[in-house]
Amino acid sequence: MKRGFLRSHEFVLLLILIGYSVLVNAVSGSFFTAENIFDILKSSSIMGTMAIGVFLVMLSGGIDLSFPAIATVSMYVAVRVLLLFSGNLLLAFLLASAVGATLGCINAFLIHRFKIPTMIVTLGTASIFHGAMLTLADVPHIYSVPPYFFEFSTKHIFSWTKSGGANIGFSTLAFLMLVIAALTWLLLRFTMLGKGIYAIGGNPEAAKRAGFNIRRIQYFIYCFVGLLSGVASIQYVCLVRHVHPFNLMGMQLDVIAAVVLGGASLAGGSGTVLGTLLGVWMIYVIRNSLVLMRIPSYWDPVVIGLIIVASTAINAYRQQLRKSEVRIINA
Amino acid sequence: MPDPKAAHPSVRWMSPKSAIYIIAFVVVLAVLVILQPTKFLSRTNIQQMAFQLPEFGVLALAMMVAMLSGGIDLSITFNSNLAGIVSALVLVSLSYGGAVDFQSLLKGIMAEGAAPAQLVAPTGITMLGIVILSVLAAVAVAGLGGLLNGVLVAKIKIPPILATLGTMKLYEGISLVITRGSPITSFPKPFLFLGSGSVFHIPFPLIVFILCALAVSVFLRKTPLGFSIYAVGENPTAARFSGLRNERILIKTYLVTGLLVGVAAVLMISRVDSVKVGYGNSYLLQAVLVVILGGVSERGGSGTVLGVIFGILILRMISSGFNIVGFSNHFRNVIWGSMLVLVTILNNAVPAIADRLKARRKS
Repeated sequence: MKRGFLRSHEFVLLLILIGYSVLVNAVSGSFFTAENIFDILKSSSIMGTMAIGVFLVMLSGGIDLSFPAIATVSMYVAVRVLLLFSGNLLLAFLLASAVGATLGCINAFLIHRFKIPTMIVTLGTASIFHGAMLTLADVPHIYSVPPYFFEFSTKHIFSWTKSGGANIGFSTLAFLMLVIAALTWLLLRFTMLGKGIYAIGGNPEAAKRAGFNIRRIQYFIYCFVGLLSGVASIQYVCLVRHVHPFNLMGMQLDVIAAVVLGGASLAGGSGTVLGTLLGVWMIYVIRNSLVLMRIPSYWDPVVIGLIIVASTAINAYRQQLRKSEVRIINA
Repeated sequence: MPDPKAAHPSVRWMSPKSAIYIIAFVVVLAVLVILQPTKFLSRTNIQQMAFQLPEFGVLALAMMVAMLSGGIDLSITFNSNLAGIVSALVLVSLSYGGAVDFQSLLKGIMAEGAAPAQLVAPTGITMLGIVILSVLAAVAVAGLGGLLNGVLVAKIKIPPILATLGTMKLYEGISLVITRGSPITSFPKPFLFLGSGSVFHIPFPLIVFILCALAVSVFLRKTPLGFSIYAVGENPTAARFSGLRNERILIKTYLVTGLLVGVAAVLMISRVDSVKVGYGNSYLLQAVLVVILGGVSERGGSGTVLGVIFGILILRMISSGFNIVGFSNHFRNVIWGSMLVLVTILNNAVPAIADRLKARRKS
């Protein structure tokens, strides 16, 4: 880990992010405004929360395709229950997290007990969770959510009023995401569990022999992704003020793209929380720049697709380099 | 030296697993026939299945080839969209394009959803040529898409899931940029024969599917490349050390997948007489499902075409059974998902149990 920050993937990504922002600002002239930047921070907070969970899964060498389905289910259940018995926002977060963690636990059970590939399990459970919800729920849309959701999204940690009367500030949604990121970073950096996640991603057999409890680690990882999906889903309700059964469902690709862009590899064992956040911001900055430069939105998937291909290619290339370095050392 | 092909169990025409699937198929069929004989064996139901099955079947074969090599191709549905769109553009512009310029024609078709009435498509040999050209365009575009996947997986060594996830998004994007999301419809009559015509009462797409299945089966069992795909899927390192060129083999694998996707694209757009971004999206999960249902190992290296065909048949039977019983689409997704997980668990558990039994017998 002593490669130095200046040579790390995160630093390169940061440079690209800044360079690209300067470029967009030069072309459109309206990128570097406090309003725009805080807006990007706020709207990227949902994907950010999800990405941190997905990052942990990929760090352990797995992949999760079911988290949008988990988010959709936990969002629906939490809001429905709160509409039945009046509640508050904290309760919403707790409920959604609990539902998410439970569904994540089912993933963990299948993955650990039967040793089948994580992609197949989560592809299957995504369709089970989402299908079950749509079958059981009589009305899967909820358009009138309690007002405290919306109020939370308009609150700021700090804010000021612009001359035009617009209120600009650092959104609580973004703050929540950063707190989760910080906690996850602490977990990975300073706890045995965190080391275990890196270890099973690097080499599961070695991790097992080193005495890590694989079962506990895997259960933790998939419950954690579920929990974060639950949190992200409530953030989403706060932002858009309704519950929709399909809006989150296409997100898995974009989130995985962001995580990969941030330096995590599918082989596991590499990547950082900071890199993941930078990856998420990169995707939102690029989307935002397409809007600012008045490029029609149907170019969006082309650009995102190219980013995924390019970033995975760079990652693969870096890994090959690392392998050849090892070979030189061994020889 | 013994013939390596004879020694390898997975290259056999029919594996013991396939036998299980044949039994499962017969059971499902019997249950459906007993429950709803008039509806299930009705002519319309069987005809509908015979026309709808082939496009999905060819896609499943495409997925199978990719999965045999130990990879996966998540881009098949959007690759087939892109191929279908390009093919439709070639078809429409060549058929009606002589009279008016291409751009205004395209605009007219996309805005109104139908070709202007005064345009008459050519007939006879010219039309045949145009149809052949549009089919070739679809196969070529999808082949190129597959080739790109192959290069990304083999040369740049991106894990197949991520590489094809990226190209999936990319192909979707290119299709959207070309069509802006509107459908292209009203193909000339002769082209529609490919997806909805019959030869001696046998649906033409079914004939195409049977030919494709035979071709893939022969390709996998009788050609060196086919055999190498199994070898690379089973154990890439061993394959490399036994002198196989893994990179070339993988590129060709994804190329074959792409070519099959092109065939499926033609069948699909010709059957529904239109093409739009997002057509056949639900086929992706189902394709993975039937390939695994058909006994292909999700880690690559084993599985037969016959197994996959029975997988397809079982899925179709159950699916039209759902239609008759009246299950909602959402509940179907629950069942597909559960089947995917259950079958994978069983596929993994059966050999393990067999090993344990064998070990017990020895001791």
